[in-house]
Amino acid sequence: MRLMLVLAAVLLQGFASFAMTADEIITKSDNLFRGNSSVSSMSMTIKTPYWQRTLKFKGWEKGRDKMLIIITYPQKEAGTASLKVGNDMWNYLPKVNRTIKIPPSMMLQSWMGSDFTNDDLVKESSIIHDYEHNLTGTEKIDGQQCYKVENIPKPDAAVVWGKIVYFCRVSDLVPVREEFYSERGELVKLLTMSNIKYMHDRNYPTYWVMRTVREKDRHTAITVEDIKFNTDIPDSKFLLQNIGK
Amino acid sequence: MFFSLAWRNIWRNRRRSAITISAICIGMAGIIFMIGMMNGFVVNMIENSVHLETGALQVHHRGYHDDPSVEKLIRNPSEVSDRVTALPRVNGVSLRIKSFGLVSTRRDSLGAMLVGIDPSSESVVTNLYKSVIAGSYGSIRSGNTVLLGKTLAQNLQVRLGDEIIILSQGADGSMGNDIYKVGGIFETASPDIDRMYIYMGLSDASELLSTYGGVNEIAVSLKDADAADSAKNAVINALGDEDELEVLTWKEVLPGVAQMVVFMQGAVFLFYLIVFGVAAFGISNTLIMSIFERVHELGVMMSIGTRPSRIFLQTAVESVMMGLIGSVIGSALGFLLSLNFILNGLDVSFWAKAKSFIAFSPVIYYRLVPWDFVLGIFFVVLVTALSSVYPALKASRLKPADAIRYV
Repeated sequence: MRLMLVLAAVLLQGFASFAMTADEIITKSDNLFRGNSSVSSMSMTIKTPYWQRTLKFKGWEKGRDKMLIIITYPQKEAGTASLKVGNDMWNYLPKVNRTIKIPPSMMLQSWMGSDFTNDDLVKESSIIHDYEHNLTGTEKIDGQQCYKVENIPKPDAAVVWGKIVYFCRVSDLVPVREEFYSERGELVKLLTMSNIKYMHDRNYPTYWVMRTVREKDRHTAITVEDIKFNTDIPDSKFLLQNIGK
Repeated sequence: MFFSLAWRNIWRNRRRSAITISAICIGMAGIIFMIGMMNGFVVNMIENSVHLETGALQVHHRGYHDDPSVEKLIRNPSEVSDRVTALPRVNGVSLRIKSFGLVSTRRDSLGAMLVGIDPSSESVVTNLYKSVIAGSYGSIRSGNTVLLGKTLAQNLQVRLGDEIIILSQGADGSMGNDIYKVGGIFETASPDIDRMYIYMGLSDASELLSTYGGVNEIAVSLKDADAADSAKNAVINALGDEDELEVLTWKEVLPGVAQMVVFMQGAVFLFYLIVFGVAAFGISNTLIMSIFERVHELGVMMSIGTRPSRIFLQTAVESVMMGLIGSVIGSALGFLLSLNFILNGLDVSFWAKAKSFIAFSPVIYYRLVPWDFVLGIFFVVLVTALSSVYPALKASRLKPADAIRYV
């Protein structure tokens, strides 16, 4: 009888930990990470064998398809803005007071010299809709039990990755790691997120490091200095004609 | 006596010898014509490739060639270029800053290769100055002015005098951008360059890409581009302690072109083999026939004391003579055939337009050097000598007693 109880307990616990489906995990974790909208201040340090530089910027995000980033530091580049609406992206250049649409051929180029590409910014939310999610187990990262969700692109999805493996903490679904694989199954990029703090109204990773596996001696680190969620941002904030103002 | 016998033997059956000689002659003329074209092609290809963009040699920061990026800079370009220019076989050098950037108009944006050059020194290395079809090459001397490839200009829908914006990441990681005026449009032999390249002044590029006086590439023009390999060593020696730098020949920068050259030389050789392989059997056959004709006569010669070795030699000389006559006349004929193309060139514009990694001029000028004829004639003599071995052996092994009775 005791044995039965123990067995039942073990089974129940097993069910409990796998009670959430992969879809739910990804959707909830993504929602936690982005909120309905957010206003943030971040600093980004890019380190390469040849140079190291730090940029600071403010970001506004609304829904999953509107985002505006304005560089505030260094002085030389202050005012430079990147606007994303849907799958399109524009850069505003204050020096020449012009807006440039990023052509599809440039989407895989680096964003502001970092290890993030323009495509990474534009497609960041597509993990929910463009991929099939499979929960493959849990793994311990930084001493915390984490869900490991494998995301395989849907057949008709226009994405560059062959697979994304997403790790988020079992306790609060805070994402801690994303692995980006090519269509041939090679690990191409690795995003790690750590230094989890209580920001505004939730636990949030405040230190992100993006590495391109092929380029060993460089990386990009982003520190989230401040972030507010679910604030009211007018749609006009994301109008092309307003970004220079 | 020896040669005159061989000579007369050739002409005892005029028709047969004439056919053999004309076969050699036509083969030779064909080969000379082909070699003229191949040579012209190879020279055209080398000249075009070298004068199109690369120069005969290139100096970079180590590792730039394998993975080009604007941060890999030669920090002391004037010192390096002074040392290279001082070498006697160097014509001149061109300093370049190169990076990938985004070019944008109000309508559209495209990726492009940005190249900063000093127009005067660039004109020593490449033919870019000849390729400008609208505007002027020198316009980039005045600041914030660029030269655009024809296809790039079409794709961006810009014309001479229009403004474009260029955005690119600099050597210090900062994002440079500025407005530039289209001062010229160029059309080269390379579709890729016409589609991808933008040239601007060296100081403009240094400003946009924050290189602070550094350059990515020093392209070297040699007095003789064929001697790139030995010149490379000379440049390496001249640079001595600059172990941060790498020196490459055009063959290393354009391995496709270098392979093509080797391939073409191989093709000429193959052509020789085929044409004269066939001719060899013809000559053998002629000689065997003529020996059957004069078995009696050879028997008489041997009976009065001619050594078999002499019979052998005489038959061989007969064959080589035919080869010589055929190949000399054939060379002359081949030269005459090629003459028009040596002077006026062969128009291959239908071909040059094809998308290709190798740049062609639309007109190929045939090229023949004395060496081509010497080699050709030598080859023919060799083949005719070889093909006479069997008939000559046959002749020298006749038994005088039997031969003399042969009718």
